[in-house]
Amino acid sequence: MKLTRREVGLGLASFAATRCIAGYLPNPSPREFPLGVASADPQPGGAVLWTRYDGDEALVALVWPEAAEGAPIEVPAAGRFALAEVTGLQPSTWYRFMFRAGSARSTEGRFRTAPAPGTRPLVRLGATSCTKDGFPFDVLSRAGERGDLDAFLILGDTVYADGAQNLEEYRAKWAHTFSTGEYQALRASTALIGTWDDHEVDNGWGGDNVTAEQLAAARQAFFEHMPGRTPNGAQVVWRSVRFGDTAEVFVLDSRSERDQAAGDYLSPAQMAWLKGALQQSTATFKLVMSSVPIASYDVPFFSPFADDRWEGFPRSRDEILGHIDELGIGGVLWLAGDFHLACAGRVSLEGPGSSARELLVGPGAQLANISPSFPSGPQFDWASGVNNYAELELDPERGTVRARWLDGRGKVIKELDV
Amino acid sequence: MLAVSDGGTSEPLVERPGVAAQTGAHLAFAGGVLVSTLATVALVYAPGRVAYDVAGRPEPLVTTSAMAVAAGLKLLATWFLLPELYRLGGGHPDIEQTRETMWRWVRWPALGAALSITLLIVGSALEQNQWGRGQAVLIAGAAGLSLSLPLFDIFAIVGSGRGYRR
Repeated sequence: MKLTRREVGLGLASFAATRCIAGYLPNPSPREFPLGVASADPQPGGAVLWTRYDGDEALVALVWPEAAEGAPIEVPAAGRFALAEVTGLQPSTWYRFMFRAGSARSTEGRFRTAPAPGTRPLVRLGATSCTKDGFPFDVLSRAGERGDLDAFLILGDTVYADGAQNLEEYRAKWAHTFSTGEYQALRASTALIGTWDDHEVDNGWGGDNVTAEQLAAARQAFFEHMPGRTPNGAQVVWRSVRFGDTAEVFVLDSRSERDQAAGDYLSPAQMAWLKGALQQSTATFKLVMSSVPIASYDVPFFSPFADDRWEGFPRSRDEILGHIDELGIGGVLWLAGDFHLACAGRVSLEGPGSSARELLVGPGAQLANISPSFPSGPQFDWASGVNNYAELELDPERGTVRARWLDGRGKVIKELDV
Repeated sequence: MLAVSDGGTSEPLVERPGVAAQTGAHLAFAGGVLVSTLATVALVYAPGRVAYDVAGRPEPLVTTSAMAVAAGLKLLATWFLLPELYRLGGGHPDIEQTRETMWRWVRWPALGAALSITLLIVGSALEQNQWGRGQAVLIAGAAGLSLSLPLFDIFAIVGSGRGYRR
């Protein structure tokens, strides 16, 4: 591989800057920063930075360009579950960061700022779901070794907190999962965009089958550990993250705002936001992150669980799919997890959603779906139960999403254009 | 044990094995049934597992085809081999009698299992390239098999035991 003088210069400068910033600090302190660092929800000018800090000193985040063309920026942070929002950065640029408190410092993380509005670069995202503690996390290791993912989408069931009753028990579940080296590496490798599913609260949770106190504790633990931009500090999961004019990622809360009695899968506010934001989005690709699939799985092996997903709420499902169809909103791609299988296919064979596509990603670390027959034609192109993460290469010039699913050895198990 | 006569005036007397020996013979047969069932499960599981490892997904036709082969082998073993285990009880048991009595008991569960496996194969064939089309048939086959297979084993033990005691 030939390097240009500029690349050599940038490399040397990067090395020097890293030594300069980290050199006068001691080694990372896992006692004060036991869960490493993370970043989330990148914007053209910044990102949200996260760590858990077990100490009493004043905490600050240091951010510097990976290419070392600028001085470190200091951003104050506070609290045990510390968030720091860094702004004023250059778009489409890799940055490194760490937290410092007194003589202690965290490990380093990195993120790439989002492309500027009006630009349409190629965007590469990773994605997975369902990572149960106790199963091998090698898929997360492989994803964490990547240096080229603009962001990593986490589609829920990140922790299996089933049985937790109070805040300390929920915190313990999160800490146990995020203290693993694999998760720390992944979370430090690029910005995260995350949502939740049932296991962050309890197995089968669908909005009304846990106590209010339990839900409040689970919600707080989720927001303490999964950084993201929340409007005015409100604990609201749904939001969108924009990558220039290439892609907009719509993050749904498919669990906590359900209303079984009214047949609402999303709250009226969330549904109105989603419809309006999809309509207004000028991004070539509109990725909708729903922890649970919206595609029709109306077959005997999957029907018994229909109440747990969009299919169990036909009015909501028809409303959003019909909205997209009627307005001719192009470039919509649904992403989901939950099923413990990777899958690609059409949302419906006929009717609303028949022109839409959905990809299932993960499981990252779980048992495969136990169905004796996996989705196949004519509605579905492919499915696999191998633990995996997906790589989505969004190419606005070609107008295609190249999806690759990779296993725990880093081997591509399926590649297809959507 | 010897077959003796009482002087040629009546039917020959058969010296029956002792209770312990008979119990041993019954247990040997029941153990043979258990082993054949475990072997059947292994024969069904292994090809399905290999197919899964290759494709990353279950291949119903591989599994149901393996079921047909394994069930056929189990039937042959139950008919030819297992009744011979009654010889372990000593004496000269009438194996043919044991076999025929057993068959009178197991023929209906065997027929049920055969029909169930046929349904499973038909269902898995329907699943090829048309996901969902064969699942109702698969469920019917699985339900039939889950009923007929245990009955087959239980009836084989009861039927052969009765044939042995005659």
